[in-house]
Amino acid sequence: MKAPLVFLVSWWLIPACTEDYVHVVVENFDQALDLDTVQVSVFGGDRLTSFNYTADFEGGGDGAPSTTDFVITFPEVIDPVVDIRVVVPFTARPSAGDARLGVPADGSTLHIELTPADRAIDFLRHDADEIPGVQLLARLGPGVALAWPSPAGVSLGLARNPESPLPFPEVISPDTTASRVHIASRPTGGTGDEPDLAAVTWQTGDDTDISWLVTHADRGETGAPVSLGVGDAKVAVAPAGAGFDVVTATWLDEDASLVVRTHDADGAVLEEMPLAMEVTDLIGVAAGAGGDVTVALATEDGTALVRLDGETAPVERAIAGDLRTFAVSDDGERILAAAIEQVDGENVLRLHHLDATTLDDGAVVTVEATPQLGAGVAVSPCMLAWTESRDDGSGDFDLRYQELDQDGVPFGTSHVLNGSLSGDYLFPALACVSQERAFAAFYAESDSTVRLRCLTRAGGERCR
Amino acid sequence: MGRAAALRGAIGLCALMAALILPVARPARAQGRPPIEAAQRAMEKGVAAVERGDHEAALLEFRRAQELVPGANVPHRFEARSLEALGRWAEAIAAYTRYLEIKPDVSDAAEVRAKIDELRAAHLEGLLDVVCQPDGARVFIDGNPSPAGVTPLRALRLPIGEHEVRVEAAGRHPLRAPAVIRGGASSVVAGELAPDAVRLRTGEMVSTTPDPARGPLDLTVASPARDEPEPTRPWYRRWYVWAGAAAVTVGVSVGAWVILSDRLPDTQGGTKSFP
Repeated sequence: MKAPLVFLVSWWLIPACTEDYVHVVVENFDQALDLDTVQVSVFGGDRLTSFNYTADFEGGGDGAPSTTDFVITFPEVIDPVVDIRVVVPFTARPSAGDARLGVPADGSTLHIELTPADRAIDFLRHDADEIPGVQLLARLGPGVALAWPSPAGVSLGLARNPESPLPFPEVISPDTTASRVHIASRPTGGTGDEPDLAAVTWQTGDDTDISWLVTHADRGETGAPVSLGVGDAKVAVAPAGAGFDVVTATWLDEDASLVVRTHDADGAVLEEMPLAMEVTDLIGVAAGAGGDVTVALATEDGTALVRLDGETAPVERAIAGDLRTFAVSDDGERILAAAIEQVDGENVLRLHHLDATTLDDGAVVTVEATPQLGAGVAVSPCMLAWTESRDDGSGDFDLRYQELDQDGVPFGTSHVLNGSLSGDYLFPALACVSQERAFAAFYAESDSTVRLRCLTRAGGERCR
Repeated sequence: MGRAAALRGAIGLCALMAALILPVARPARAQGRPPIEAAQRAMEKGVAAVERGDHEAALLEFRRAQELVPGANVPHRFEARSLEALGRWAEAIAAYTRYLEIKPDVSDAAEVRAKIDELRAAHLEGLLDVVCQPDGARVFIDGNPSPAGVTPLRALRLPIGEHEVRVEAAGRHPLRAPAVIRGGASSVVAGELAPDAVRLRTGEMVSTTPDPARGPLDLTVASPARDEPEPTRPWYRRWYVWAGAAAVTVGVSVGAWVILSDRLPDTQGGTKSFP
């Protein structure tokens, strides 16, 4: 019996000598990286391998990247798709890159490009037992504006050039019990104009009131906080020509109905549009250039978009699955609604294209994603971001993003927003600043920080 | 619990949780909002744990959601499904029962009640047949003074575990036997009750007693003949055939390793394996 075993063991040696592998080349275009620590994480099938090494970035110049490299062998295939993450953390401006690899790799070469990683903006304050429901980021002026519940209250950070260090944030409310901070800015309808107005809302600590204030891009004018006097509302800024500046959708406690109100920048109510539906959740609101309002909500029957204009009967369109968020396309003609459905036991992320006026169904695009049911999704005219469970056995959540073309269809490869793998990353928010740039903000649970990352759009100049 | 079943149960989680939790939470709004978001988060983590097959971790999350929002029934149903997956049947039934107690008119109440019955029948109870002669003998279970029935007794439902069965009939010696009941299975106790007396030809009635005296049994086993010739071994049972094949294979392997080992690129970061 022993002899056949020896024979079988020796046959095993031959495959062991010809292991599958991938040659990973890490490319750096912008930074003057020299001798730096490179952190590598490889995971899939609930397994994780991490290692560090000191890299000497070689080559580069005349548009070519400097590079370092390593080899990963796969003695066994535990998952047909493997994630590889690379971080260079200990520099003045950390950088990160990621790729997904099909295994077996057959000795192929995989190029991973390093881009500036996310950076911490400030601590995000929240109660230990509560998860902050925040909307962190919006376009404003030539750059972005961020708002978050901070240790000092409610903070607002304005960044005309978000790639540079942000100016010190302003505390717009000293309420250190405020929560559910949201920021939204005026849509520009793809005109190339810069949003001139943003509205920040927050809920008071006793959940009885929502306050909001507007801030202007030139920063010389910030309105006084306006109390809505209600416990739950969503706020959006209207595009130019709508006839109002801000729209609120308020969920009334007494009968679970909704009332939509339009306001001027000082908070005065211009029009009130009740919506006689029994609402179980209020998801979002947006205003159109024609003065119409679209509300995303949930009822006992599921999620839906409802359009009101104050003159005709509301138009309702059910959205299959769990509608997570929506955005209006740059041209104002379409609504992009992101919903997570369950198909054959799998979570599927779908982007619904609807006519902004009639809410008629258009294309439904399935995103190549494995979204986490019930978790955060962000959609903007140029990018989509969602939450996925990290396949390293930790069960933690990552944020992934993918670019959208002019028709709102995802293209290219999705990548990871968070540079590190420590804990959960939640509440993605996106802002398409230009044809070359987008920015993403999100919450890092491991260190309770708000983080900001520059994203280079296809064909655009790389983030610095 | 199958992945599909777990994920199917999670569809519309957010809307369902909002529908079920918020009506409970709303009256407390003036005193401060209950940690609904934390409960939702716990449920999301629980569902994620179910997806990766970690039902123990899922249970922790579902129970955390129960602590955060005691009035919500959905976490109990998810807890029950994970307990099912772990084979903790009694606990699963208890969790399903709590789910119904919190909201008796829930839309899937009938389905859940049927599930409770199914689990009980499949895992916590079994069936016993008692088939003994004569028919009509009384059957007692676990010393219960009231008979459970008479023979032939079919499909008596009992909790899982060991039970004592006693069968009695007039003029017969009682029969005692253990019965082990397994979940969802049938057990049988069969036998014949011996008469406690017999009538001889003389007409005399003689009492019968069990006869314990028996002589030793003579079990003589014939041993195989020792002088039979040993059968010829086939080639695949000859040690030198395999030793030679192993030597050739090792040689080929070493040669292949020498030839092929230098095909891995020489890199700055070296070579690491995954996993």
